[in-house]
Amino acid sequence: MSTQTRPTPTRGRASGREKGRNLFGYLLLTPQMIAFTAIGVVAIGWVIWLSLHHVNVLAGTQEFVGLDNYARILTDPSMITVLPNTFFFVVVLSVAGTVAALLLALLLNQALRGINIFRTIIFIPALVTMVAWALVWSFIVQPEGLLDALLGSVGIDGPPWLRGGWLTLVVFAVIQLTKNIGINIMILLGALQAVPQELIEAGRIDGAGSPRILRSVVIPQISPAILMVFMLLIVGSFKVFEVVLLLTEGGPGVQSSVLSFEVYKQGFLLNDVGYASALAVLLFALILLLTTIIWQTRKRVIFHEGE
Amino acid sequence: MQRRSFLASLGAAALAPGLAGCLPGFTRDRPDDGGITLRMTMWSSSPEHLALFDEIAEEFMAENGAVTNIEFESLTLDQLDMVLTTGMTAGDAPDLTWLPVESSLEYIDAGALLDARPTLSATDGYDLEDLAPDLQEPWRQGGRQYGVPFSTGPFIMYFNRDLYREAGVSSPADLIAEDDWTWESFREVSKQLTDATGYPGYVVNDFDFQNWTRLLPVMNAYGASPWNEDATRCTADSPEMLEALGVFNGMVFEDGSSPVPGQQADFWGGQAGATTAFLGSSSLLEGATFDWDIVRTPSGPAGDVQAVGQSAIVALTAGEHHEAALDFLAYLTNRENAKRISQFFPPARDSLLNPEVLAESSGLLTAEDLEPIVESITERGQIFPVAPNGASVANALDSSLDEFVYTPDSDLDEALPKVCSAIEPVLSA
Repeated sequence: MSTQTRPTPTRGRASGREKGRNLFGYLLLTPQMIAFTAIGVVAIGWVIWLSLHHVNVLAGTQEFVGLDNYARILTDPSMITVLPNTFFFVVVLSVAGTVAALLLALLLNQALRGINIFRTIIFIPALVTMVAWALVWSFIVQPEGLLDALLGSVGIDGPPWLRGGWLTLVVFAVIQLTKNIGINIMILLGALQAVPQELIEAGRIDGAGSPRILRSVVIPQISPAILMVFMLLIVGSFKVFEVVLLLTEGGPGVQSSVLSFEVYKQGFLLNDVGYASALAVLLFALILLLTTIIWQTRKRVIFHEGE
Repeated sequence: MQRRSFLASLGAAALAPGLAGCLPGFTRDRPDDGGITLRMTMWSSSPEHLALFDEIAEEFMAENGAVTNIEFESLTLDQLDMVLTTGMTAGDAPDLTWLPVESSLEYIDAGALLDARPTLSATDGYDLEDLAPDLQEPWRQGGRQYGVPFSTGPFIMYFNRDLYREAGVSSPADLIAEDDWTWESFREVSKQLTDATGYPGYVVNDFDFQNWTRLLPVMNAYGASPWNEDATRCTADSPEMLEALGVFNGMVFEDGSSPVPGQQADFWGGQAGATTAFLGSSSLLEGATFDWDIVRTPSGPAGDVQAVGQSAIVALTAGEHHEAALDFLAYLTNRENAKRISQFFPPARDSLLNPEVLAESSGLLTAEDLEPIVESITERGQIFPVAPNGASVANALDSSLDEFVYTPDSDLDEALPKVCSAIEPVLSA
């Protein structure tokens, strides 16, 4: 908790100096707004428009079909597998990802000799591209790969890691989680190091043990950072893509596919741009909905947000 | 007033990047000499292939003053559809492309290909009659010619003589000599080879359990096809398909003589007994450290039927320069240039489709090697089955085979009807 007091904002008509400062602020925002309008808003609008059409790219024709593409999502048998897979990643990656990052951040926050080496090691996967990371893992989990060899050395026959079912989803979750955990740890580590020592000492003087200090002092202090990591993980987990493309192409069948991969498959491999756009709009709506819900609930769970 | 000017500036800001895209600084780097630039996509990045096409392009431009630049864009076959459709959507499609026969009907039906016949007929010395009629069928419709095949090659079997010798089992050549060259006997020797050497007896080249056309050699031998002749009905659950896939699945999951899904084995690096691949793959054996040979693929109850793949050069309706593209297509596929291209790809011209011409241009294979191959194209060849919406059908077929058939515990009697349930709706769409 900061002991500094903020200057009370002056109410009433803004002074000329403030106006000038605001204008300068808007000017600074302009390049970002231009790019966002040109790339973001226009693209989103175009995708929504495409989702209302049947597009035959080869013939160069577009036929307005209303909500047909959205109705097709409800009757598409592959969605029975794809949507639960997508939510599996959202739940597992966001919850497990946040908990794992927090635990590791707490461990790495210890003042031990050589701790920086561990901090560096855990951050390395975040520096390589997802493609490289997925390829490394493909050597580990392919039949007769590194993992099978390790299990074989203790007399265990490795299961087919990438042949669908929950096992493949778990493998993907591990690959995805280990790739990005370094960044989340760094965010939480930064927040942990900003927790005022006097608060922790005050807690100790009041007789609180380490678990109580963690629960009542540290976690509330870093809760904004935890929320940010959680939201980043939710948004990221909806966009699990490279690992699916590179390791299984969503197969067998669609057993390891997710919504973002189906958008790519329908749009770029099967030339069904209208349906792919409807799926993309669904993906966008789901991300927007979940992040809005979490943002609205922040006042209840984040320290100081309710004030 | 303020609001209006804000919106106006926002609109201008939104338009700016679009307008910027039209400025010369943002366009492709092309010579600004007022001439035509043609673009062609191909799924080869071989320096030899590119050098030959560049050479032909230079000669064409020397004769045709209007075209001043021809760009070849290399990609992989599985990227082709994506690159073409993205280009078409963006109004930046290439003028010409290589196209596999599996996509022919889909592109023709959509009106995506230009009719080349008027140009070919009007080109002096083109000799349209020399194009082998049987091999042109997929590209001809209603008297129009939508592309000219430049590569018509069967799957052939390459085998590692050293590994067969080491295992002490009959090689494919021995089985042919014994008049016992069937998939059943090949399965048997493959298992023996695997048991003796630890290497897979058979690897399907370029397959990865994601490209059903690579199983056509075994399907054709059993008279199996995923759909009927006019591609209106699924026949993947036929007794013939059951037998064909039974042999393949048996090799993978019962005998262990072919890699399971995800397992890697490289025939070209000497790590497998045999593979089925196109004739063009023979270049991969240049510098091979093992003794190898080629034979036709095994026969089956349907006889000795060879699966023939085909690719054509086509001009796209979405391209910018139709006339120039068709002229270049005619130039690339005339007799003289077809002969030059035949050093890499088996031609579809009667006058060139003989072992001597192919051997003359191939450094690795002799006329004697090639005799049965040419015979298989002309006499026992069967071009890949084609469906109207090729990309969707292939995806549904590959996906359902992967899910229901390529599994250790699959019961083909139950699995194949599920494959049909998956592709039937796409076939009839």
